[in-house]
Amino acid sequence: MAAAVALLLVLVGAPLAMLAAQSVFIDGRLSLEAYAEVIGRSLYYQALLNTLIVGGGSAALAVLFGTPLAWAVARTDLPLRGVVRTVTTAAFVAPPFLLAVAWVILAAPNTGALNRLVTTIFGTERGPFNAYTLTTLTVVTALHTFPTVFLLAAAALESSDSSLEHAARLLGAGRWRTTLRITLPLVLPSILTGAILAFVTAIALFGSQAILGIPGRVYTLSTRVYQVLGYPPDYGVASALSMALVLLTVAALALQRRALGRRDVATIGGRGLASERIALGRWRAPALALCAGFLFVAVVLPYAALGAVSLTRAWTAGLVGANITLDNYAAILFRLELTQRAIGNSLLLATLTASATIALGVVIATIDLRTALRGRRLLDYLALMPLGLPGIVVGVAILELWLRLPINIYGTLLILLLAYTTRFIPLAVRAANVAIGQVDRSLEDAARIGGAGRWATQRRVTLPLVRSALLAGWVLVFVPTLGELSASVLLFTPDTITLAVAIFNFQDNGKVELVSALGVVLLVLASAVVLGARRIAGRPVLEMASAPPPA
Amino acid sequence: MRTLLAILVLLTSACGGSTAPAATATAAAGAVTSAAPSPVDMAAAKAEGTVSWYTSTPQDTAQKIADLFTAQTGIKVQVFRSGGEAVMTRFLTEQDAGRVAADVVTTSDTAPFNGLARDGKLLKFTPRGAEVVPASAKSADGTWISQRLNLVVPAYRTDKVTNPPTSWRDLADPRFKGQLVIADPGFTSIAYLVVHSLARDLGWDYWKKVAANATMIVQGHAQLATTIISGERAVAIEADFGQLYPDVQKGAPIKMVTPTEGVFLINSPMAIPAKAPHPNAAKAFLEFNLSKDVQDLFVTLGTYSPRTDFAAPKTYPELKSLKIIAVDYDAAERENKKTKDMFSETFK
Repeated sequence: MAAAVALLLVLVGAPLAMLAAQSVFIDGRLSLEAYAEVIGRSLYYQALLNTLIVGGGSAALAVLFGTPLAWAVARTDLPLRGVVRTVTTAAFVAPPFLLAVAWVILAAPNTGALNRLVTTIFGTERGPFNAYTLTTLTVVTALHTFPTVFLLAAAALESSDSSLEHAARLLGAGRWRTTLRITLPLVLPSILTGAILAFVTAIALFGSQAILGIPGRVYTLSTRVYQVLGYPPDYGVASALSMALVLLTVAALALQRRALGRRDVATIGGRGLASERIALGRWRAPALALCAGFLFVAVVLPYAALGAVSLTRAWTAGLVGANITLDNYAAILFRLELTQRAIGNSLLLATLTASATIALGVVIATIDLRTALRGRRLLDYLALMPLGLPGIVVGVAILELWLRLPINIYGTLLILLLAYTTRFIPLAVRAANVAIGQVDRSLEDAARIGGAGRWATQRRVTLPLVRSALLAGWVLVFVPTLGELSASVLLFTPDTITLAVAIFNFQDNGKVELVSALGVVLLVLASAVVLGARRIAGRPVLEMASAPPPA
Repeated sequence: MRTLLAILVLLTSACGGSTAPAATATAAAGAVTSAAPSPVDMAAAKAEGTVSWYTSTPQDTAQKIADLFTAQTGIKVQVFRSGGEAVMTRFLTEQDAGRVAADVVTTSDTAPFNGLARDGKLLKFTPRGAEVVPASAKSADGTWISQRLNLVVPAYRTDKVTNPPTSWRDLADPRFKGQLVIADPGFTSIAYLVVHSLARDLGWDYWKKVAANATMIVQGHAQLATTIISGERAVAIEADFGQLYPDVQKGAPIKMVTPTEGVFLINSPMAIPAKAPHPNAAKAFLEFNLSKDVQDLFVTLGTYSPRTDFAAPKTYPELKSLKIIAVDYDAAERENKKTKDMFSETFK
């Protein structure tokens, strides 16, 4: 217990304390200069405003996209429901900055594929889309976060008691009236939770904000933090801006708690009483067309664009004749030592992070659920705290902490491992909590009575029972770690470069073709792990945990 | 594959090299004086086996140089390529953390190199070839020397711009609204030096007007070049013209502007950190960058050589005929944060 608390303090408490300290100490003396500078400059207000618009707007859109989709899948006789669900969950696998790159390829004002399609067909001078606006950034962000709302809403719809709906129907309410007046209020808490998680995820999406925002001079808190850490770095202002991001996130999460009481709706959705599916009748085909159309634009189109560009010499020349090549893959897989190293580092780090956080998660969940130790709530609270920390903030905090400690781990994979562990421990703890919570205590008690020791009980009885749930948790940590950008971009060195940083770096260098190829490699690796885990667990792992991976 | 590439590069540079002998007449401003070259211990360099290069040299060129060096010496080159300011930030952070991983550092801002040299953080090394590099392109104390001279000018698409700009000041004209693109001075040294110098000469009001022209911001000059080549934007405010040159040679409809105020000619200093983990390999590699092979490569790719015995790239004016806008490196270093803050404020 003490060891677990100490470890969490090092992982979570110390960086946070360092961040707070850095924001009020300038050159070793107490000063509010950094805050004064942040508050006194209109460009930071603009950044705050843009952050709120991206967060709030994309959360609203995520609800707008995710809820009807969830309802259609969970409560109607929509054809191909399984496919719709699979495609939506697949959107989880992709790191958000790849989606941003894809939308640059599709919607850059003059060269974007969609714009060129429009100008070719209609002979207009310019196409209608512009990748580099606040609106596009908001919409593309929503395309990354809507699966969160979808999964939470679908789980709630599937597990909510349908007897209330039956009652309403018996009392004469029509089908639509029942849906609006009974079903919707029942699942509203889940939708609200989804919206807030979408908001929290959105404001932390450094990669998308940099790729879609900066060219059009739309700056957010995250991109300003990154900018002030350029040459010469200003740690005071970076820390003060980071604190603003933390406050926003914590406020949103507090709002959620307040609105929902202490009820945690984000648990594995078990199937409740069999609820009657609504027959769509003649609306079946149009509904399917609508779902398919949306998922095509949200998921299929962007990744198809990445795939196509990865096969070209010059992406603007299109996927034709002599422009088609496998050379981009040859370059990143066989020729460029940097990308080979990045792939290796990311695979190693993702494996280590997923294993370490799940191990820690099991310990914490066991203490929380299976002991009566005092202070175990504190442990749980500490472990969930990083939910309130955007990735770039974790990066800043870890960087400041370890640059000032005499232990020299800057420039090693260890500092990245620490940052990732800090970032993703909440996912692991939550997954472990759910996994262990679902095991009936009486089984463990029986083993203990039968003479098995505490650890023997854990190993022989509990672990086998929770294995697939833990595997799901492992994947849930592995996937976002593999594509982690926000913290890595501050902590990497050329030796410890990761996949996401290599991609971001190529993007800076204007190498869209290499970016796409490396992105495809990342997607293939992530999908392989998800599918492999699915085979081992015997069921889809991503849907088993409804909390979204943070950005 | 790598060998194949190296051979290709050798072939291209051999062809391009035919311009070099005719070049002996060329001379950049400044007297050519130098200490005797420091000898490179090749055996020790090969024993170290690897060299880590932090550079803002354009990605493909950097990789070619690295591959060529490996092919000739068997020494591996780890290339880390990013924007000059980003490269310098990373190097300085690592140095502060007591973990120097770079053997050779190359960016395009002289000021931080002078600062590092003052603090004794750079190795003194005079490579062969330094004797034909003018004083303006190397440090007096032998801590850094220029790898290349970047010609930085506005550039435009001839197919999209009918009334092209003729000066830097012209870019503030509303007729270029929605056509301009600039690299981020927070990311690249070259953009930073241009922003700093023009703010000095034309005032911040100039940049305000440029910003009001809905100027797009990209990270580096490679991305700037892509943005022009692909046609996403029509006018590059401060193109590192070498990055456009290969496409221009192949017939891309892109032209440089020779502004009435003058052009920028920016040094790209190379230096070896005092605590470089592979100092001998570093010396061999730095010297290699000044060799005929590499300098031919640069000239072929549209970058001036700092060596006076090389010709200007084909179609470029001779160095001595250029009207060059002076960069005040000391002021640029002193006013770095202030200038970048102003830029952020202006382009928010």
